[in-house]
Amino acid sequence: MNSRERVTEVDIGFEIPPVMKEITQEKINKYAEASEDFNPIHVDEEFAAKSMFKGTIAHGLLSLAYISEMMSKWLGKGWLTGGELEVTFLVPVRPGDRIIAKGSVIEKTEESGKHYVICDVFCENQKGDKVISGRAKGVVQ
Amino acid sequence: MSPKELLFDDIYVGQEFPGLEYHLNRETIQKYGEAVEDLDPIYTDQEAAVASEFGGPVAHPTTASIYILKAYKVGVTSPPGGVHAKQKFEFISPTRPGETLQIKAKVVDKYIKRERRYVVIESLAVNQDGEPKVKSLMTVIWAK
Repeated sequence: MNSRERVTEVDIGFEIPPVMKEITQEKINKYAEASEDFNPIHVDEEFAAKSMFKGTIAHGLLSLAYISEMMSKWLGKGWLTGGELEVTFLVPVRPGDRIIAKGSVIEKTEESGKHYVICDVFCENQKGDKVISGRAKGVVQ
Repeated sequence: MSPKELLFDDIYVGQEFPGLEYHLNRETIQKYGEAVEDLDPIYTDQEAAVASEFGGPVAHPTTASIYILKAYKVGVTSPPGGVHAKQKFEFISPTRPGETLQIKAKVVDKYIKRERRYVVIESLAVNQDGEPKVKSLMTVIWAK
């Protein structure tokens, strides 16, 4: 959490250090336990096989957590205090997928004396498909 | 008696769910950190967190994911197989272990698109001192 950038050091196009994860059914189950979300689409292979997904998928909020981790490691307090994240879940994440959270600065603004960065953020899988995509806004101190 | 299943046809815009009280503790944060593989010391190490810019341990901002889902299931269940379509979070200020959060959720939109049923739920979590912590806007594809 000591790598926060000053606004003068962040240029448009800056690429945020990525976060990489590997998805397994065990990790999905563990997230279900931690988040208390036991929707069978995530944890019940028989139920999920009969769904439109033809198998279990990870919780969307698990991939979202990877983007938040990327932002918090980069901005620290500027993410936990005043950060905003808006994403669309595009492609299901499945056991066996390798997910990378990435992002880059697309705009810098100043509001009420605070400096903000607006970033394109997304997670992609091992095929290069964007599985979740959106915008993040954080304070650069 | 099992909780009533909340069906799409029963949901209406403006519908407010009963408030949810959620106590955030160290165990929850540790378990969540292990599940998302983010054990940054600001979340898990008392001493390091005290020395950090936060002055003490905080929760991952996305622990909000736990209670925003519970907030619309107070006294009811949602049909199994629902899928998250969109999510917006505003992390107003960090939540901390020991805080008791009150979460109020309400339906702000519902629609059908390409034969899928969408419900949009807004929620706000405030702590025991009335300080706003996290705002959420989630769009869920309702199973039935």
